[in-house]
Amino acid sequence: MKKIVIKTNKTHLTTRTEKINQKLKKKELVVNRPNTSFISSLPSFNKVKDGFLTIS
Amino acid sequence: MIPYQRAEVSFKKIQEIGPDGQNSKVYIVHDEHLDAELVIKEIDKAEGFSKNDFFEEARNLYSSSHPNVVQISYACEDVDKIYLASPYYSNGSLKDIMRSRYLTAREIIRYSTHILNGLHNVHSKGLIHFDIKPDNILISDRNEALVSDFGLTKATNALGEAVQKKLYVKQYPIEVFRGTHTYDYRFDIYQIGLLMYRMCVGDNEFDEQYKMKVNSWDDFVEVLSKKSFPDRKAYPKHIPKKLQTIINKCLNPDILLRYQSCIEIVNAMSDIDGPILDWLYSKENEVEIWKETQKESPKVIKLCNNETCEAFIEYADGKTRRITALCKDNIKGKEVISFLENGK
Repeated sequence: MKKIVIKTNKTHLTTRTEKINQKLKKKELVVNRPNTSFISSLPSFNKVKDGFLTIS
Repeated sequence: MIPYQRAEVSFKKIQEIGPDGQNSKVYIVHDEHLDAELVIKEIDKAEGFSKNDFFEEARNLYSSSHPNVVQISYACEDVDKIYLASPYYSNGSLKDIMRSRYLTAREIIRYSTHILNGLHNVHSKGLIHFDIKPDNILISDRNEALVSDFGLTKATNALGEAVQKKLYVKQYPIEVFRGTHTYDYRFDIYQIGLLMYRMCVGDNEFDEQYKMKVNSWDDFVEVLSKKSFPDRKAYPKHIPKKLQTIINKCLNPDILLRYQSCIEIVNAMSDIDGPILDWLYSKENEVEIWKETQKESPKVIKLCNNETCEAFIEYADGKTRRITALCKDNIKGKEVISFLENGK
């Protein structure tokens, strides 16, 4: 007897959803998001470009 | 309670070496009692610091004792200054070698393995170095790399994090711009990646990129987050793809996607092999040159403007023989890489 295999998009969709969720999760986990107010509080870049900077 | 006994050391300054630190100077000295040349770091006692603060660097160095970490011979003080004495390494620093020539891929892997072993030991003592750069890697008499300068090193808390507010700007990883001043070991992983990158492309190229791409804090954040500084496409052709991938992973702006420990990096590098490791690279204007090392009759490849190529074997008697397969006017990058990888 011949077996009939019905292909659906379900698996494909599940994998895609999982991938999107993983990406979002990864985004959430990014702990190094720059802090704009901190950056604007830094001294003039050109003054410290080639040296050490002590951030208060 | 038994009081601490005081004793004297006696040394004579011979020569100042290295760039001045903010509060410190480094000298080659002759120690009268040991009758030996040492290197002494002389640190000014800044106001508002305790004795513990002054000797923090010496203690960190002493507790990190390892074959790939510079030894500390002694630490002492007078009224105004702290003195940290180390052996004198006449081979200088990695920066000195990088100033004189490019490194072969084998040298990059070898030195990196030494540095990573030393740094792994530093991390295992609960310390973050915070200043891994070519100037701070010394070369021993056995031509092994040693981690030095623990001036910015900090001990971590129970979460494996340390606060450091003073950092070398050119080597900022993106997490500096969070503004929390709290970092973990992956800060050093970024800096070792940057050091390996500099070994691959040379400091002239690295400095040029920094000068061209980073002119404001906003630029800095943008190029770091977009992975365009340092430029991941600037590796010379003799740097194995696997090594490039490893370095790029260390440099990932997302700290979760970096290697999580030094040992992981050593393990990843362990299976890089092949003839590509032994090409000595040089660059004269628009001509890139690769010459085989450790060969009696080395092959030489000269690539002009990334398209015109000539290649030959150089014999000891000065005669040369053309390698016709590589002598072309419109050679593809892939062909050159394939030759570097296979040596034929």
